[in-house]
Amino acid sequence: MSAATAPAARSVQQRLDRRRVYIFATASGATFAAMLMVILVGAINYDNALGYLLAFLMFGLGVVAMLHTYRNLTGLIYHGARALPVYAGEDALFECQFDNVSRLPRLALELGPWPSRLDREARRFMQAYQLDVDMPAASQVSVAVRCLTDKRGWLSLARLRVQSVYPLGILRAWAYFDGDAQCLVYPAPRGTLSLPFTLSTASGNAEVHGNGSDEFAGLRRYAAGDPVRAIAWKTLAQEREVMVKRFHGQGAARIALSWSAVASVTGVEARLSQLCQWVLQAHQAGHSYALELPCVYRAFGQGREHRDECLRALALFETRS
Amino acid sequence: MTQRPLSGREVLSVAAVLLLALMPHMSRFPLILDFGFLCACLWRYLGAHAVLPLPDREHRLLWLLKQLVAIAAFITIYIAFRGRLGRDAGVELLAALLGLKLLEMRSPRDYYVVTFLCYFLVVTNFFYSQTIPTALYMLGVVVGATTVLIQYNTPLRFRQPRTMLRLSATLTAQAVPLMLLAFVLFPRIPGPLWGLPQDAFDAVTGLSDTMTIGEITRLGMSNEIAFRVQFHGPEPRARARYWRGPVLWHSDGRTWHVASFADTPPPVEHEGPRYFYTVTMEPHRKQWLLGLDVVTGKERGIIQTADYALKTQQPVRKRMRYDLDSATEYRMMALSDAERTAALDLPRGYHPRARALAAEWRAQSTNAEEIIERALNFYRAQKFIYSLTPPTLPGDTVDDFLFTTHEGFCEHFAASFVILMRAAGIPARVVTGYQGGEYNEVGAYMVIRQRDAHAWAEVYLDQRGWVRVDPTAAVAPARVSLGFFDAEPRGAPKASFARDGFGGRLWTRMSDSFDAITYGWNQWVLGYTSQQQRSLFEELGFEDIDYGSLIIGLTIALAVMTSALGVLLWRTTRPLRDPVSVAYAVFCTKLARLGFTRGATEAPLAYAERVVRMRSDLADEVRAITKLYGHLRYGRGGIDAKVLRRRVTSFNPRAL
Repeated sequence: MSAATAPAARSVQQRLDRRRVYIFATASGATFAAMLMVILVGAINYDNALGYLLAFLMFGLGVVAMLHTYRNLTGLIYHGARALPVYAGEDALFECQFDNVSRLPRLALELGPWPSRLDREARRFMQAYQLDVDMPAASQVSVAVRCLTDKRGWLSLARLRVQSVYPLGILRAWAYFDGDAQCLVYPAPRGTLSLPFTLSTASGNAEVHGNGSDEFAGLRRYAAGDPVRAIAWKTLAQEREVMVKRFHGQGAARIALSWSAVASVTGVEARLSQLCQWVLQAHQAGHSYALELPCVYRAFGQGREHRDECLRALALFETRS
Repeated sequence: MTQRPLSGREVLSVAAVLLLALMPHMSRFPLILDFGFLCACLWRYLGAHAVLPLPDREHRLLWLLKQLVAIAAFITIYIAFRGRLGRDAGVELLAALLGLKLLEMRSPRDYYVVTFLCYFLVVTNFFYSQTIPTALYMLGVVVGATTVLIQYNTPLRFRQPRTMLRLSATLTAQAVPLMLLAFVLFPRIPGPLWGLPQDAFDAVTGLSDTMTIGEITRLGMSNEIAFRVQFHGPEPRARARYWRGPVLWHSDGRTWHVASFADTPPPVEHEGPRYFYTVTMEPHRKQWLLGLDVVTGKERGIIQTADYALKTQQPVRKRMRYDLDSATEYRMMALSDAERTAALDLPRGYHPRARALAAEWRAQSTNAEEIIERALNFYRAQKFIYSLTPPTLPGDTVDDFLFTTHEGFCEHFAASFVILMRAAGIPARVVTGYQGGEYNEVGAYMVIRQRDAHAWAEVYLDQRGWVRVDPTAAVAPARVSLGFFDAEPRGAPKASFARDGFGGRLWTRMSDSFDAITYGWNQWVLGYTSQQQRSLFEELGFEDIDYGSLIIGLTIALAVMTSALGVLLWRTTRPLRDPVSVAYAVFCTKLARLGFTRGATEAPLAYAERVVRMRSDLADEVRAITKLYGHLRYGRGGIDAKVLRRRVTSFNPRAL
């Protein structure tokens, strides 16, 4: 994973015990109860013994369904979530890890993010982001929970809600998992300006990102963020350290992406969006680039690691998380 | 809950359960309704397979047709029942409605509502039949309806019919203890909460307030159970088992009626043993209750008329249980003037020959006993035949019977005898009821069937009071001493099979067992009323239990039972224990007893070596087990965890 992943989620292992599971009747459950009452009143009025028995059997079914629905959630273990950075406007994907360590399959669970504030809009989004999940007996399940992102910075998945109406649909059990999983949201790459003019042509530090025609320049140790295709598989096969091939690049340019260059764009966010787009374009083209923001400076560099550094700087610019 | 449209399969399962729940009603419905309902099911089935279009918004014409059918069905049912929405009409309406609903069922809400209505259909069946087979069948319907609910909530890839059916059966089975608790403890409120529809209880056979010659024949043929009796202590002999019903005083020459005197019986001097017993009366929609001969003690709420018949305040619409005690030897001395007049009254212009004969006897006799003896001798000498199928008597019933046909059953004998007595100046009355009863060996109670219906006479003698005279016994003594069928001269083949030989005994035993089960069912399930509930708790030592304490008891019992179920269910949520770790933990515990407690971070191999250093005698076992554990834990497999467990089990090191 790249360095820009959320701060390695602390282990937040949570086991749902009985006290943390809530339960209530659904609309169908209310209808079921009404039907039960009708049958019971009929049985009383007609003094019909089997009518009584039926009403009480339905009552028993309701109670048993409650236990089963309740049981469907208890004992689930949540290990926390991690998410790769996304651009604002995209959905953040939190990989949530769950364990079902029991021999009871947990079927028909609905999982989704629980918004910190509960207004109508939040509910609507929440509804759209529910996932149907089944966890067979003794299984580990990874669920990609989507979250809507609207602004850059840290997006946290503080709360997850899991619920289930299984098996009869007359009762709904639900529970919350609390965590501190965070997703870094980059500014949306947007803007109309083209990349600023080239400062100078690089004199050869394109390093490992060179293309195939570049000249081989030896090996160095692998560092996080190096492309897989640069790994020296031959040396790896000899069970030595993981090494990457280095090249002397030719066509790379040096570009300074500075705050002043986007001065013509109005609004901080729009400027950051423009810078974000430039970073991506420069990276795509294999240029060496530097990022210059008020109080923030990222020196010239290349490669995925550098790109992520820059995007992170843009994402967290003037935010207090 | 996600709102997804229903799949064809889901709709079909609802239709199947609906059909199952309606099946017992089908025979009661008009054919057109059965046909219409089956058509709706078929249409929906074909619609689900896209063979036929369904009557939805896209097919306006079909939709219109469906609406028209709905309106037509309602109007037809309304007219057929003349606007009286009783039980039958209600069920028919519901069936029509559900058939049509099936066609337009689309949303999950419809699905749930129709499934819940299946539960309701179950209870409508109970208004017609409450037998054990019905109950079992309906239990099946409940399991089916629950399966339908489970199906909707189960993710598609887990929908194996067998699994879902098993889950449904499990849920139902787990609900049964709660049901039983609630059934026993839920306070029973006597009486209807509001008026019942007029067709709530169908007419059932039984004794009536009147007796027209020929009516009891029909009862005589019937094997239906009239009532059951459980004696607490000694039982009377067969010939003393006269079950007293309504007493008939007035005759118009053909039909006999009851009289209404003051509802306070004159005191009875009883001699000999008293019999204590419980009667379970089948519903007959009349107010009459049956008791053994002369009832000397009864429950509150039961009325004893001046002629010692028993009545209730309300017609017996449900099976009813009551405790009585009776005497079979007694003196009923009281006779008021009004009673004497009624007991001597003869219908004007009827029975001239009988009157003449009686007048002749009276002239020749010195006392009443002699007249009675002459009368009984008359029946014997004239070769009267006891028959269940006597010829019709279109003319004067008594004269024709006495002087022409000489063939009749108990009613003919009793009525003619009373007329003869009255004509001879002896006060007399007809008593109807039952005679005999067979003993059920399995359930230790007595069954009295409609075929045991009987009629006899009572005459008033100045010194002895009212005395029973059964003229039928004079002609067919077996009828009284052995029971009905043995007295029937032309025989009933089924009955003789039932009595003779091994097969017969087996058959009797089987039918006795079956009836015993039915009796238990009737008594403990169907007959569990507020009265029964009260007496059950009295037997358990709770006198005068009120609704409040019942509800508290119910709540506590349900809470306890639910917790117990919860504990049972929660076991499956516990983390699975890996057998390898368990076995190794046992091994460590065994070593710890010798003083080798494994350190929290101590590796198994290091631990084993530490033990071996001190206890070289255990080296082989300890090393082998540790190696096995290592293989199971980190090896490629191929070894069963049971091998380790067995090894650990047999490892029993002794302390030095």
